[in-house]
Amino acid sequence: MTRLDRIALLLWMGVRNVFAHKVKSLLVGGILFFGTVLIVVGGSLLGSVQASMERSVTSSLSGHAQVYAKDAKDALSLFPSGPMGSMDVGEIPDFHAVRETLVAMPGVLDVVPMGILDAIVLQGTELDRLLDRLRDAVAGGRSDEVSLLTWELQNIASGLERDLLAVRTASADPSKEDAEIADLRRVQDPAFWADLAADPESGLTFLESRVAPLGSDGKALYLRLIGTDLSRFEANFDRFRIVDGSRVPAGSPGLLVTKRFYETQVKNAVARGFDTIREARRAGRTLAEDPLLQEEVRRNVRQRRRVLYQIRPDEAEAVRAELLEVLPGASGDLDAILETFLQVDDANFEVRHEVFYRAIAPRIRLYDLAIGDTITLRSFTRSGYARAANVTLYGTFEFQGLERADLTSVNHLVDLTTFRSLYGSMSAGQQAELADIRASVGVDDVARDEAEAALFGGDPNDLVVAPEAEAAPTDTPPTWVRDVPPASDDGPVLNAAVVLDPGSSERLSVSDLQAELDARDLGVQVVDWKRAAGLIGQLVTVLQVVLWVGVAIVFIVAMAIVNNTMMMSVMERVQEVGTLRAIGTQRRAVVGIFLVETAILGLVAGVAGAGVGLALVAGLHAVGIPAVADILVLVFAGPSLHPTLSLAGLVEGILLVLVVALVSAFQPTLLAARTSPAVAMSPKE
Amino acid sequence: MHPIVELENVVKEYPLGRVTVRALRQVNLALDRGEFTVVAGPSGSGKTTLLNLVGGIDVPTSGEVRIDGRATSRLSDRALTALRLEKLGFIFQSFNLINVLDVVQNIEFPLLLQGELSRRERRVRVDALVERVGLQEQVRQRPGELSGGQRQRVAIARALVTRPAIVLADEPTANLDSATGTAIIELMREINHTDHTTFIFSTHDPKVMERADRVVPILDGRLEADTHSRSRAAPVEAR
Repeated sequence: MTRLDRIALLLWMGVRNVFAHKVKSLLVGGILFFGTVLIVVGGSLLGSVQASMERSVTSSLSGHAQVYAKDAKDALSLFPSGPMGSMDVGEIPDFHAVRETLVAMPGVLDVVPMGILDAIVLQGTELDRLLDRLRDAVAGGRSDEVSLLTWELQNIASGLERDLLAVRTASADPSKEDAEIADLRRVQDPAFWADLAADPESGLTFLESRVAPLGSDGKALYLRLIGTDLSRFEANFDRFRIVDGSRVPAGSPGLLVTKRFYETQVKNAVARGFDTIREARRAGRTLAEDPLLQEEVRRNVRQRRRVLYQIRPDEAEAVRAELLEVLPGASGDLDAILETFLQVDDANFEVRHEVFYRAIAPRIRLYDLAIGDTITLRSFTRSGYARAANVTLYGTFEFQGLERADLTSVNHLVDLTTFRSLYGSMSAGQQAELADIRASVGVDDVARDEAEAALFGGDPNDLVVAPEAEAAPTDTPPTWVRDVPPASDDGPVLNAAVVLDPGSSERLSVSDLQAELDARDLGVQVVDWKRAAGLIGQLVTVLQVVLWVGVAIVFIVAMAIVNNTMMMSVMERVQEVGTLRAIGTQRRAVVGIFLVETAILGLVAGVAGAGVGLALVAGLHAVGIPAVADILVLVFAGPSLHPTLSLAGLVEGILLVLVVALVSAFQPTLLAARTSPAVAMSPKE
Repeated sequence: MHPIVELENVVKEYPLGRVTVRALRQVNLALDRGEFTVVAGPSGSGKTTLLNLVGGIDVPTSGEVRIDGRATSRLSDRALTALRLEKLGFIFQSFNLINVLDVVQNIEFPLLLQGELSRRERRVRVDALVERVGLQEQVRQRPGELSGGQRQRVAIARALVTRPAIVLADEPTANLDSATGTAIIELMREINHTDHTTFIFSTHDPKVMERADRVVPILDGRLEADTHSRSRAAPVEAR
């Protein structure tokens, strides 16, 4: 009873003292309050960012974990974090066994085979395309088409000539330009076309060798490809969604590019310019004020020939008429009208955007790669051999919520067979062929320490095996050829996504998976999504460090201030403490009095801070923090972040503040406890 | 029966910067139970130092102070604090009440530190003292709401609540007007009579000295020949 009464008195004194020393309480309490708000809000944001990034990355590419070879030269990075083509993660030695082992674990839904490589798509210029068509039309004797193309090529030549004349005036030695201008004038001369009709080959050769190089440079598109089993990919990554075109039919070579890449890199430059300006205006920017948008307009004007050359001559008049409807008073040829048309401002932009998409877009090749096109992907194998594969572009895809995220837009999907041919592995047929060669020349695999015996006959009874003794390679392939069942899992797999049952992702850790794989000695390593994502995954860690360093700095400052304030408070109350000591209060009890007081203050400030923090987080949750930069779309796993807060987060915040308060009050409290009881008496005489 | 307080060849020195102040020089003193003693002397004479030693608030540099037979210089801080709680009551010049506690809580405080009595026993004892010092009307008031005299009554009640062997009072009337001071002294004198509590005062108030059984004059850290006559004023009162 007495003990309870004593505690009650201690609490009573603590509460009364908090009120009695208002300045100290407000100062210390205020600091602790803001500290708690910071921890609660910061912790909530960080936790939410981590959770949303995890959702982004795991649901778009990585799965909950990634598996790849233990002896990989480089760390796996699903998102590019270095120069192109620099990543070498080796191959998973035995993907079948890895998959079997993991899928047998409860909670593992699937293991999706993958491989990453960089490929290039080379595109000819508009001129190249026209010349191809011309050669076809000439060969096919289609004179109508030839005359149409003649008109187009004459147009292009006249445009190029104008450009060259401009260059010539600035050139120190105009002889090169003069020669080129002469070539272009020849193309515009009807006599050239009459000759071409008579002797197509020399005319075409002239066009291809002398004129084609004068066209603007062809474009090379760089594609980071993830080769995977596309149907299993779609089944396991539920944010995946086809936007244009269709999914790749099972077993066919096929490519899917991201919608964002398709819109930003593949689309006609002028159309893209219209899109960019429209997006910016929707976001509140104006052409009148934004110099970047003004530059976009100027660029569109400069690039007008990317549109102009694609409009068929028989449609040019119709386009011209449609443009003139919104350009009263304009005159000149289509080039001049287009130039005027593309000089948009805030007042006319919406109308011109609409006219562009109605009158021009349907008449040009809106995308450099059209869906359904067969595309040649080029790549280099590890040993430096160039590889190429033809593949159909089936469509575009995106990950729901991450449509605007640039980083998830750089990885395109290709079927595993195409991936493997680019990667440089042999098809089953090629392997069989090589096995045949090995068998016919009698090559055998020999362990190093048995090499001498094998070469020179260690055992006199051991006969050299005759080549004829080898079995037919198609029945029992040599051991170095991996098992050859006809599933997508066969052939090299560089890495694989481990997809967990949502309920198990908490319980099943990377180390659990690793332990299971190590038990079977499969030579693979397991990394969590954070590490698998590469640099972007480290972002969470960086944010964590930034937050905690921030919190630490705030708390160190807070501790210094609290310590100082408490010290002054103790000095002020030295008479009181002396009295307590004189009338028989033990030092421990004095410490108790001060710490209880601090704890009450800390608790009140902490709870208030946590309350305000909770309100702030609730507000942010309701409103959402917009992803103003494209990188944030990935970080936020969508266009905005709606932070959440757990009870544990709140309690942690309060406890942390309490600890900080007590730690910073401890030294002044000890000082108080050492107060001599003599100070209670009248000053020394 | 041994004296309740005994000082034997007590020397107390304080370091003060580079010099050492000798506050008490070879003091010998014995106080008997039930005595109402005044230590009288001018400022700087060593009155408070003497009281600090008697009260176990400080220990001597050399010599021995025995409180109820226990030598204070051999006790740890903890034991000394416990000794103060058990054997001594303190009344201070500026009252030194705990401002955040009301009258009853202030008086009860030492009993809670002791932790020996039940709530009921504490209540009985505190109530009796409240009545004794005449503060029945003020029990729920806090020190800030009381007059100087009322505060000193609370302090007296607090000093007495543990039934200490000795009550020390350091110039208890210095901050009170003379009428109030007289009343306070009368109250203590009365308690001394009825309960035989030993009182030791430091003062230079002649009125207090008049009421004492014994006056111990102190000057420059030495005790002068003391007197047991209550009628004689201390001759050392200087200034």
